[in-house]
Amino acid sequence: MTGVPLIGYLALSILMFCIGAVGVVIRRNPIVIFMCIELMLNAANLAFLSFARYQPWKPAVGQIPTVNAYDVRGQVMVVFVMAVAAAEVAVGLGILMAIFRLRDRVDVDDLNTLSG
Amino acid sequence: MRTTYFQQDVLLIILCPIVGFLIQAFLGGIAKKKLGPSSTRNLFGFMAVLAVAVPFVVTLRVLTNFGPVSSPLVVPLAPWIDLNSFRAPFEFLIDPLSLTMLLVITGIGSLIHLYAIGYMAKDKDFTRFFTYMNLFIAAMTILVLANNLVLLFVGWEGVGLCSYLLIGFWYKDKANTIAANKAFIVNRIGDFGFMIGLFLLYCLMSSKAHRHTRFLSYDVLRTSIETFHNHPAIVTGICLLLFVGACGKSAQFPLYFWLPDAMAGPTPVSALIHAATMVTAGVFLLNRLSFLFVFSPVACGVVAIVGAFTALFAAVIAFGQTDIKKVLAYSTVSQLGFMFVACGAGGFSAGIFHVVTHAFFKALLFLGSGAVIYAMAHNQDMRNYGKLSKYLPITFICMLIAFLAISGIPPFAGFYSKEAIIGDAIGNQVFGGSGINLVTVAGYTALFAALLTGFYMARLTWLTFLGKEERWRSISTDHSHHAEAVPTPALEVQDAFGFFASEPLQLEEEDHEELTADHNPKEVPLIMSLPLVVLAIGSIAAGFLLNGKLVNWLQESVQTLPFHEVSWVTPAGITAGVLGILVGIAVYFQGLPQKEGWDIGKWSRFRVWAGSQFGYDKAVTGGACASGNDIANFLSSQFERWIIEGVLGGIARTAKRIGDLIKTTQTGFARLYAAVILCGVIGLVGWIFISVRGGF
Amino acid sequence: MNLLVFAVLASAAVLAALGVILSKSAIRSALSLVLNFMLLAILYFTLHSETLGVLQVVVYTGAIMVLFLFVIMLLSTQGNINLTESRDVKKIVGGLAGISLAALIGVQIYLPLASVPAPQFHAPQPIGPSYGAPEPLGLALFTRYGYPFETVSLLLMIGIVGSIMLAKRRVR
Repeated sequence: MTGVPLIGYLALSILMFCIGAVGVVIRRNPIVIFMCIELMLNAANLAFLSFARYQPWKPAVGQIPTVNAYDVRGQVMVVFVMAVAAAEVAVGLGILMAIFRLRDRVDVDDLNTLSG
Repeated sequence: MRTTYFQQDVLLIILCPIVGFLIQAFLGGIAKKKLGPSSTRNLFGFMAVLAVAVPFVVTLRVLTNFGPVSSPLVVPLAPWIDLNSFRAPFEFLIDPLSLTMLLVITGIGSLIHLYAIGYMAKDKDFTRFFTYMNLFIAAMTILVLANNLVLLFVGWEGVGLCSYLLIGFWYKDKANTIAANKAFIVNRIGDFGFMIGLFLLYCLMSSKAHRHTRFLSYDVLRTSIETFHNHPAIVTGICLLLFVGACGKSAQFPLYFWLPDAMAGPTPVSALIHAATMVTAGVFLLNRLSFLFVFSPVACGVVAIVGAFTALFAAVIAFGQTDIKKVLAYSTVSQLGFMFVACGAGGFSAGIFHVVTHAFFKALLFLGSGAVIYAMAHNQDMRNYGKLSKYLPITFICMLIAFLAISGIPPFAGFYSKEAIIGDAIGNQVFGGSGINLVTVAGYTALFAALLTGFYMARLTWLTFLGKEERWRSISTDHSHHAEAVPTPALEVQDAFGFFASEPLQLEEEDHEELTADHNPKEVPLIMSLPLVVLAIGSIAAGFLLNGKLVNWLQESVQTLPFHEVSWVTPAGITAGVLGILVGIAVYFQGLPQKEGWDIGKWSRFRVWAGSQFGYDKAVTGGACASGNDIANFLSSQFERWIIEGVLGGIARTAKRIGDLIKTTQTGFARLYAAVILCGVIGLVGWIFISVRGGF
Repeated sequence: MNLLVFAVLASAAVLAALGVILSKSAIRSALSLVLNFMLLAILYFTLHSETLGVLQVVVYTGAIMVLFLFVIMLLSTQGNINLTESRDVKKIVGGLAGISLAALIGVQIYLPLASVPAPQFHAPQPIGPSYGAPEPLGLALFTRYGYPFETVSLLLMIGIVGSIMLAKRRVR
């Protein structure tokens, strides 16, 4: 999408990340907190992809730009982030289920048995 | 080529007992469950003997390949301590001295293992016994084969450990564990001296600009004569400190008193460890370092005089003992004293000669006494014996041979070695000239101790095997209660005939069968009498077969000081032995004399005093325990209260207070934590913004 | 024109994100998140990362969000899932913190970018014919990034086993 500067994507990424962070702090529902974390992870993904797209690259003289010449590091990183997010969601929701079995109500502020 | 050839043999000699030890230790218990006690006994007993007999055969092979005149051969096996400035590899030395010791250890060791199969047959911890025995053989072979003092120390500590384990073998009886602890602790005192001596030697050697980094190896040490020559005072110190170690291990005077208590272990152990092999390690050490000792006449004089005093002292104590094994224990201490006299006189190889012959006849005496104890329902009090020659003919003949051998009657083994020792001591040239000196005095003392040897051994023989009455026939409850009044503590709790109690106290209640008036002693089985006969042959033949030859052969590895022949030593030695025996016969011909009878009150004061080791043991042990107690009390009352409670407790309390303070921040609210993290991130980014980028 | 489309997409995404954290009902939050993810997928397409755009739809909106919704449904039958969010100081503090964080990072990124005259930061770079296609991505994953890839797969497997263990009822 020509005409859009890198800073546009980054601004979106920053905003999503900060909204997610604020959500983690202000919400009491653990499921929503999880969603906020997903939001933050996706913000990071967006940043990765936009940096990958905008990264400076100069082909050597006479070299035809081929697939291998392009760096796929950004995309690989996003794949890994997705996998880790999936694992995190699976375990996190499993924990939530286990807690729900013991309590009627789930409020992260009630789960303070670890207080010193 | 030659080295690699010997490498395999040395490896075999050392690994056989180790493998045997591992098999016994890890498979013994399983086998007992799967196979039952009887076949386990046959199988594991056989394996235990094999683990010692194979090294014996291999040693014989090495001996034939080594030849009579070869120079010492260093066999390196593996690196161990490998530093820039110092190396002590696993290296072994094959020379006449180590081969002699190896033959004694493995040869007599395998005989005693064979005997122990019979002796320990009914013990439920049969495999545990052979585990320790094989481990002992392994440690002992390392000790004698080691080519450096550090490796020697490994074996040295290893045999000490096995000695401790075997003395306390019947650990359920508290007296046995006390005896084991005593042996171990007293040995530690000796080892302390040994270690300091070792460190001193290290300092002396490492301060020299030396080409070698293996400077604690014998082959290097032997070539450093110049260093020793330049530092006579340090060499004397090293020698004396190492001698302290030797005193501990070989039960010499200041540290002898663990050995008699060590008789608490099973009799084969007493024979193998506390008579034939381990206790000679001190003599061996002095022989190994003979090139060091010859530089220090003072150390030699001390060695000789300590040895002579021990020989005399222990011989006198032997008269106060009624326990047959105790008599033999003091006899061992006394004979070890003879060996040290030889070392002190510079006749180191004569000491080894006596080690060899003594190994034969003392092992025989112990095994014979084991047979007697076995036959007499585990009663060890000689006052209960008498006329046993009728019941135990084989044992009697063997014991008689050993008795003559130890008394120094030609042509038995002890005569040759003892004569060599006394001759060396009286004709010594340690201090240069002839005349009377410390070592000569030691020689005369040893001669007198030889007379006493004949005397107390005659006492033992007559009280046990000869005499006019079978004294246990007249046994009554009266007597057996008096038996407890012996000045030495009763170490083994006796019970059923032929039964070896792992749980003496419990069995005592179940089927306690004391030696009674209608007891009929039986001769021991073949597996036990066979080693007796072999050892008896050795006791006869070892002396004149090895006389002169052994000493010559050892010249390659042991340095000796010259001495002048004293023509009257041989007749004097024979006279002393014969005289001692004759006096003994005269006193004990009737059996138990009235004044040595059951009533200790009627004993002569001196004899009672001697029986209690002149109060030495009590004073040392009691004093050490009391002062240890005082220190412990002081520590528990003062140190504990002020230092531990005050300082350490204060630190703990402070930490707790700080912890309590910090604890309040741990609210347990996950969202608060998240908020804090968020604030942290903001702070961090802001810091980067301001300090790294320098603001806008 | 492109900028305008991007601005619309981006502001929609931000609004969806705000919807996630501001809506009272968890289901509404989840649906807002789905919308956000869909918009993100479109943005990935605009970045020529077609494979990842598809993955975004399939994995996030298809799998993860369904899992979220499933859990919400499951739990709302048992108890009150709509917590009454009290008005406390945390909300204000959190909001302020979020704004300041956004401002800080934004400034941090904007200033260096603005100071670089090179055009590549302001316009996308020329790309090869198969940029964003599955083939180079898969090639990279299985060759150069084989070790982290396997590690991640191990992580996923452990996550699966762990969540099964957590979620299954204890048989007594």
